[in-house]
Parts: sequence; structure tokens; C-alpha cells
Amino acid sequence: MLKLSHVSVRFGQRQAVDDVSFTIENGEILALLGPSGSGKSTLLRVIAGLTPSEGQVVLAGRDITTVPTHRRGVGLMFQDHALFPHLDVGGNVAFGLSGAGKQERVDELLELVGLAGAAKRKINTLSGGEQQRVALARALAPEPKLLMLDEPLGQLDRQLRDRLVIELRELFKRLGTTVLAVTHDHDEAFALADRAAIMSRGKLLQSGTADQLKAAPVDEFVADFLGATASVRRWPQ
Amino acid sequence: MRVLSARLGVVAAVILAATATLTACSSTDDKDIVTLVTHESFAISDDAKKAFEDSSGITLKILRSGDAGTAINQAILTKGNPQGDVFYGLDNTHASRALEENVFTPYEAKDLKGVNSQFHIDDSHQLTPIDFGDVCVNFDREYYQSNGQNPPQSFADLAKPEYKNQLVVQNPATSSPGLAFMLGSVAEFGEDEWAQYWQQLKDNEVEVVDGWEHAYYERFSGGANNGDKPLVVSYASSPPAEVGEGENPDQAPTGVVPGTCFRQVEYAGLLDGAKNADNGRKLIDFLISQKFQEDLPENMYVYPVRDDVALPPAFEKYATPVDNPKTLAPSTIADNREQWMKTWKSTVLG
Amino acid sequence: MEINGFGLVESRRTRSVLFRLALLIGPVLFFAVFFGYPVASIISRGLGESGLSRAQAVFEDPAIQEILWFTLWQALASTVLTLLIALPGAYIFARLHFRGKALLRALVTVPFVLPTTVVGAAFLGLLGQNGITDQWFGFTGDRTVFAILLAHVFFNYAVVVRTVGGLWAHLDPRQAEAARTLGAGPWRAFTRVTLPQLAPAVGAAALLVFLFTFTSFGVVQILGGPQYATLEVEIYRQTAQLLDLPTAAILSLLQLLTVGAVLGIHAYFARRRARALRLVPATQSTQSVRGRRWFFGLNLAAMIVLLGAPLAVLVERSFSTGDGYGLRYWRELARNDTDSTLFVPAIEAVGNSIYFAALATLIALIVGSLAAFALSHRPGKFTKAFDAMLMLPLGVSAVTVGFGFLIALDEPPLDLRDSPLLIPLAQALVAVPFVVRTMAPVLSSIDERLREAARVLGASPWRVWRTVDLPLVWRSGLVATGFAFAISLGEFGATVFIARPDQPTVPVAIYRLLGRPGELNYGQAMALSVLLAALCAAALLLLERIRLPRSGEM
Repeated sequence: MLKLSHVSVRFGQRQAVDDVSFTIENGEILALLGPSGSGKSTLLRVIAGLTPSEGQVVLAGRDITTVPTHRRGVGLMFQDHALFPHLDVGGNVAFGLSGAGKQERVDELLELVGLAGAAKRKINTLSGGEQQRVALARALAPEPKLLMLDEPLGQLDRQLRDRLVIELRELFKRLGTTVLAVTHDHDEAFALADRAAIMSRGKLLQSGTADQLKAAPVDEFVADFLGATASVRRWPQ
Repeated sequence: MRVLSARLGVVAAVILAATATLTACSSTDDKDIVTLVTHESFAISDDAKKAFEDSSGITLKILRSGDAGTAINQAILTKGNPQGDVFYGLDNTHASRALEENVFTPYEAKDLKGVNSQFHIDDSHQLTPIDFGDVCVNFDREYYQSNGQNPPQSFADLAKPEYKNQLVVQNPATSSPGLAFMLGSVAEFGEDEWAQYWQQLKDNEVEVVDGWEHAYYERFSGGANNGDKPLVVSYASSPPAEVGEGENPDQAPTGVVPGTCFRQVEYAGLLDGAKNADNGRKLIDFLISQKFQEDLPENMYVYPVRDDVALPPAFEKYATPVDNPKTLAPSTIADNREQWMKTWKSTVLG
Repeated sequence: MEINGFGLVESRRTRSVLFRLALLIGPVLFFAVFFGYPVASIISRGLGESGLSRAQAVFEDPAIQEILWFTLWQALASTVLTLLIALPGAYIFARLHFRGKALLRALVTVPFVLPTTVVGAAFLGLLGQNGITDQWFGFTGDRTVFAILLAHVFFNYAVVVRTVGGLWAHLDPRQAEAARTLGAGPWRAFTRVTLPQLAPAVGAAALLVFLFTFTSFGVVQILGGPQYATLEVEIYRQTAQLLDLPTAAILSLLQLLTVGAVLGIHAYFARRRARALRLVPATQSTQSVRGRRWFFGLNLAAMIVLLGAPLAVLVERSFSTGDGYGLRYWRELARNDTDSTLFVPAIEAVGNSIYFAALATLIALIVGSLAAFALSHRPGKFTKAFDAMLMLPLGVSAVTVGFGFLIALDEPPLDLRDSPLLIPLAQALVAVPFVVRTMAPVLSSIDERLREAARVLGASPWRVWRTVDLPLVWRSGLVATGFAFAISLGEFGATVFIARPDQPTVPVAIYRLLGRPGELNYGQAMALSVLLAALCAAALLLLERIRLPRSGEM
């Protein structure tokens, strides 16, 4: 579905993304895993066309490297949602839709994310979890070929995250959506995704399933990262 | 919202296009039009305007801008490609410059004989006199009556101790009556002595303000005005205006100090390069016709240059005729004005 | 987070930037044709006569030096004083919730439209010989810088309230609240948290006030007397009275250079100030007056004394007929008499004013919002320079622009000299900077991710502008509209230097009335000024009432 070849991004002196290549199969959920500053969010922006890069991006067999963002047919759920404050819930979800049947589609999506009947609510009256759901519904609405999530559960509390991550995975699998999710939390990554790709300092170090990565980390960093975050995660409980 | 914003874009395009088209259409020559370029104080009654248009078949278009100085300097600036056909409102303080710059085309108006010859300044007939007025010190009649004092009679009186702290004048640099009053003092005392006179006025606590409105309305106590000074530089025609409509007192509440008057004559001329020069000539003929001359006093508070025109009753009754006004040759004014203003400034404000 | 910092720099080269530059074509053309070209023409005509040879003599003239120094320092002092008095006012309007807010906000803007001669008269009635303070306290303040500064505050109070208040209403109050919980007192929370966030708007307001007072003309003349003159007065004298174009050109250059330097300083300090702020709907940030009563009361008192008293004098004079009070002047205004001093019935002047002001507002809104949008997004060198240029008309003398029009726009296809369109164009020139300054801070504080979210959802740049930018700045757009309308309604300087076919606006009619003797003329001028003030207040109130269904409230 998505194929990245030798993608690099340079910000002045800094190599934010360094010769990254990978593919995502149709209907697959891939997690981009790495510490903050590793270049994973930049990679999302490259795929969305928000940040120019070297290399090639091919989506569904079409080279979209030079296609402007709005014609790429990808979906992106921003880290803190970026919901339009001047539109209500329905208005946000309908933003990417066109043509007839808009209203039905909005209702359908809101039901899908568990917010049936909330179309008229104002954005600033929503809780964090609700905003999350609206953002998801909005990103799903135009039926993107590829849905990208930037720290989708970042700001939510632990319990909600654990529950939502399962819900999300079920939803994506049911819809057959191809997903690329960015996260710094490997528990979350493995719960959500089929496969994870680990990034550090702009480089893609290794990708594979949870078992593959844990069983055979390519280097110390991967081992440390998986171990360290695991231990950090365990600590507050 | 969407409709509106979409329209905004369209409107933007339309405005730009409209600007271009409007400009393209605005310069159409029209045979039946004459354009009068003048200052903001120009006024004509509908009646007189209609009389001109009906008798000549020409539509009179009036362009006004700023004060007399602004208007004439704009005319000088657009020499050769004028904004209109006839300029009206040039006075003797500016006449010389305009003549030097050849802004006007000579034209001897048809009934020029009807104009009192004392107003002619130029034998080449570039300028035709239209009206005159006198800048004089006005006094508050009630003030002097209630104080048992005689109002001043002359320039010299104004510097006397009994009139201390009573006079308001305008800055000649920013006010046309202020300039006229200064020129009057030059004419009265001569080029060598006038500055001394101003030193005396200053010692006598003359108040100087920048504009006529300020001096007359806010500082002068005469009539219904707001100030507390009984003497102000204004016009000989100001007292009739202080008599309210429907009132009929024996005297106006303000009077004129006869020895302090400086005469201003206003001229009109055919602009060089006028598009409708023939119509312009007809307009100049009209400006010295009885019809327009009769119209002048009530609309512009000035006097006609024709002797055979009746003044309105209020002028007959309340305005004081000025017999021996001070005058200076326009060329003398032009040559010395800037230097005199500097002298005035260093004497009075310095 | 690193993404946002660097990603934007990179996206400068994308199409959306080209789109923004394309939006600038209109405003650039507008300014080039109706400002740059005329001003350059008149200055080069002046320099053409004798080049810069006159420059040394002009600069070395102590009188000119004195004028320049006075012009500069009175403008700076006026700006500081206006900010000190009006910033608390901006807070009241932005953050407090009270009855009659809309009306009060419209009223404080009224001074803006009043002709300076009329305001000068009102201040003389308060501070001058025989004025109210003279009668009550034996204090006279005319012919002092003090009176000039107060009048400048009177005129520019609304500039600060509107420019700063527009942003303040949308700042998230929680950040200042967070500072309070960290132990900061109200003053420290204000200076350390709120003020830095407001900085772009405060800077813009200060700049506007400075430029306005830098070119002050009537106020300085009437309240300062002949001892005080600004550069503006001197340029008027040299241009309109003496037609000494070489000297006028050098003075105009001096004015341009000074204004340019001030704009440069402003740009330097504003450089790093623009940042994405967390904006919230205005309704969310307002609080009740309770607990701030003394602060509220103090501000109200300041507004009443400073803004209300001069207006009250005007109203009083429009009814005071010498022998008691009556409607005589008002009746006279209503009389449909073409022989009167106005040369047209008053109602027609009002109609002209509304017509021209509406046209000017439309032009200013289109040009201004296009420019604001293009400039709000991390501008490059060119756009920055243009941003500064937009402000220039405020700092250039009206007579220079008026005379420039006359000699520059005199040939087809641009022979606009006797076109009625010239008036709204000249007025729009003055109004555009206000539109830009009102809208740009709000625009540049829009979270870039909202635009990106829209693009990812398939919105073209044009649609992003339409569906994200425009609705978010709509409120500030309304504020800008009111501003532009008020400015156009009261604009006099440029209007009077343009030769016009007989369609006098209200300020021109007032000027004509005041140019003649007689209490009837004076009284009518006062009544007409009150009418102008009422007209302005009504228009602004009407705008306040406009609420767009659903979308507008942000």
C-alpha cells in the first residue's frame, strides 16, 4: 500500500530523517516507535506532504512525492487533535466529505466512534477522550488510503488508553484500514500494531513483530529502548 | 460564511477591474460642460447656477479643494494639463506667482467695463477681478459700551495701553486673514517700521492663534462667540453675519475698526490648456455679470466688483463700508512674503 | 515538538506560500498605484528642481530642527500616555463582562471620527480661557503640550482598545492563572505572562498611535498655538501655501525617513514576537466585574472624564443658542435649503459620508485582509518590507498624498483627478493599515496545525483560507470593518486636498461651516459634529450586533 524509498529530510545542519525505506501492506497496522526527536513525526509529515523531502513516496502504486497534501488521499490524526474550534463536532467530521449523503456519513462515523448524537456539540465542551474520538472520526471520514496517527493516545490517562488501544485496533481491523501510528510507548505500539518499526536519530533501525524485535534486537539501542521503556512503564504501578 | 467569503474574492477582482474601467471612462470630453476649479469656500446659489446653465446651455461643474492657497497652488502644479477650464479664487497675495507661472490664458471678459477699474491688476487680462473683501479688526460693541471705552480706530490704537490684552490675531503662516493683517501693517508703517509695531503689539499682549475659526469663535467675545477678547482680526463683512435671522437690531453686535483694513481682491482666470476654453470664456463673462455679482455677498460674504449691483439689506444696514483700505502691489507681496513671515515669527513668537 | 519548529520553515517553499504571495498582488498593486507612485511623483518633482542641494540648508535650519524634535517627542509622549491610559481600558473590554459593553465600546470609538477643529474647540471649552477648568479651578491648559497630549489620548484611546482588546479577548486566561498559582501577584502575572503574549498587538497599537500623532495637524495648531508646529504643518505650509516644492520634498523625505526608521525599529522588535498563541473563544475568557469593581470604576471614570467630557461640550454647544437651549441649529440642519452655507442639505452630506465610507471600507477590507493573510505566515524579507510599507500612508502628510494624486493620476488610463472614486481610495489608504493590524495578530496566532489538518483532509489552499483562516478571524474582521468605517467617516486631511465634484462629506461640511462667521454657522457645525459622532456610534453598534450563525464565535 505504502512504499518509502530512501526518504531523507534535512533541517539546516540536522538530519531529521536519514535514508528511511519501508513498506506497509494493505490493511496492515504499523507502529513507528522511538524516543522523542527520533524523526518519526517528521516522517508522518513527509508522507502527508506537509514537509518536503528527498527520496520517493509511493501510495497505492502511485508516486505521490510531488503531489500536494490535499490531493494525496492520506489521513492524519494530529497529536493534540487540531480540531477546528469554530466548527461543531459534525462540522469537523464533515470537513473532509463532499457531495450528497454527508449528514448520514457523519452520523455513521460518530456512531462508529461512540459519540452518536453529538454532532451539534461545541468543541470546547468535549473531554479529552471525546476530542480524540472526534479527531478519529474526522480522519476516517474521507476514507483515506492510509491513516496516520501521531501519538493517538498521548494525552489520555492510562486506563482510558488501555481500553481505547484495543478498541482502535478492533475498529481498524474491522474497516480494513491501513494504518501508520507514531508512538513513543512500546506497550501501546505492540497492542495496536501488527508490526513496529524502531527509529532513532532519523534512522530506521529495525522493524518486525513484537516477538521478533524482543527476541533479536539488532543493536544495543533497540534492546535498551524496549527494555528501558518497559521498565519505566512498570515503575509507577 | 462560505458564500460570503467566495464573494469577497469576486468583489476584489471586480473592484480592480472597475478601477481600471472607471478611469478609462472618466476623461470623456463633453462639449456642453465647463469645469470651475476653486477653493472650499466658493458658493453659488442654485438660482444663479441655473441662470448660467439655462442661458448658455452649458452644465457647470465645480471642483473644490482646500483653502485659497491650496487651490491656486494645485492649479500652478497642474499647469498645461489643468483639472478644469476656469480657476476662481486667486487673491492678490497669490496673484503674482500665478502670473509668473503662466497658468492662465488671456481673455478680456465681455462686460469688463462694468467692473470698477480700481480692481484691475493686469493689462494682459489673464486675471479678471470678481469680488473683494477687507480684512479688518472686529470689535465687540457690547464690551466697549459696558466699559465706557471707545473702540480703537487704527493700527496705532491697537498698540496703546488702554487696549492691552484685548486683541487676537492669526498666525500669517497658517491663516489667510492673519497674512492680510500683517500685510496691512506693512502697508501702514512701511517696510522698515512694521516690525517695531509688532514688537509693541507683543508688549501689549496680543494673542496669536493659528486659525481664523479658533480666533473668531473661541477667543473673540463679540456676538455669540465663546471667547473673552473684544478685538479680533476678521472680515469687514463679519458683523452682518452676527445678526441672527429674524432679528432687526439697530446695529450689529460687532463692529469694524476702519483704519485696520487690508483689501483682498479675488480673481478668476481661464486655465491654460483648458479642454472647453470657449465655455470657460462664457463662464468668466457670467462671473462678472450682474446676476452672479448680486449673488456674491450672501453666499461668500464678499463684495461685488461692479458698482451697479445692489447689496443685500443686511449688508446695507450692518456692514461698514471701508473707504481707504491698505493695499500692497501683488509683486511686492510675492517678493517679500517669505521674509516678512520670518521677521514676524522672530518678532512675535521668538 | 521539534517538528513544528522546523517543519514550518521548510514548508515555506510549498505551494501554499506561492498562494500567499499571489494574494499579495492586489495589495501591492493598490499601494504602488495609489500611494507609492503619487508620493514618489510629488517628491521627485520637488527634487527635480534643485536636487538635494537644498537639503543641507533645510536640515541646518534651527527652526526645522526644532519642528522635527517637537514632532518626534510629542508623538512618543502621546503614544506612551495613550498606552498607559488605554491598556487598562482594553482589559475591561476584553475580559470583563458588564451591561452596556457594546454601547460603551462604540462610544469610545466616536472621537476617532471627529474633525480635529471640532475636538480642538471642545478641549478649549474644557481647558481654555473661560473653559470649565478655568471657571471651576482657575486652571487653563491650552497652549501647553499637556493639552495636546490629552487630545491625542482622546483621539487614540480606541486604537489601543480595539487593536489590543481584539487579541486579549482570545488569550487563554489559564496561563495567567497558572502564573498566579506559581506565586505571581496580579501585576507580575500581567507583566510576565499576559503582556508578552499581547506584545504583537501592543506593538501594533503603539505604532498606529505614534504614526497618527506624528502627523498631527489640527490638534497641535489649536491647542498648542503658533509656538508649536509639527512637520505636518510645515509640509502643508511649504506645499499648499508657498508651493516651495524643493523644500517640501526634502521635508517629506525627512518625514518618510523618520517614519521608516520607526517602522524598522518596530519590525526589529516584533521579529521574534509573533508566535502561535493558545486562543480561546471570547466568551470563555470573560469574567464578571465583581471583585474588580474599583478597577472597573477607575477606568470608567477615566473614560468619562477624558472621552466623555469633550463630547459633552460638543453636545451642549449644539443645543446652546445664546439665549438658553433649543433645537435651532438642528432645525437649521434639517432644513432643505440649498442656499445655506453647506451648499447641500446636511442630510445629503451624511449620505455622501456613508456612501464614501462604505466604499472605502470595502476596499480597505479586501486589500487589508488579503495582505493580513499573506503577511501573517512567517514572512520572508519581501513580505516584511511590504508589511512596513502598508503603514507608511499613516506617517506621510495628507497634503503630500493629495498633491501627489494631482500630478500622478493625471493621464489616462489613470486620470482619476475628478473621479469621485478618489475619495474612498484616499480614505482606504489610511484604513488599510488598521485592517491589517487588527487581523494579522489573530491570523498569525492561528495554530498552523489547523491549516495542516484541513489540507490533509483534502482542502486546497483557497479552501483552507476560506474554511479555517476566515472563520477564525471573522470577529477581528468585524472589528477591522468598524475601524475602517470610522476612519473613512472622519477622514478629512486627504479628502480636503483632493479637488472634488460637489459631494461634500460631513467633515468637509463642518469645515465649510466653521470657515464662516455667525452663530448659526458655528451652532450647525457643532450639531453636525454630534450627528457625525452619533452616526459613527450607530454604525459600530450595528456591527457589534452582527453574529454569524454558528461559525463566527471565536
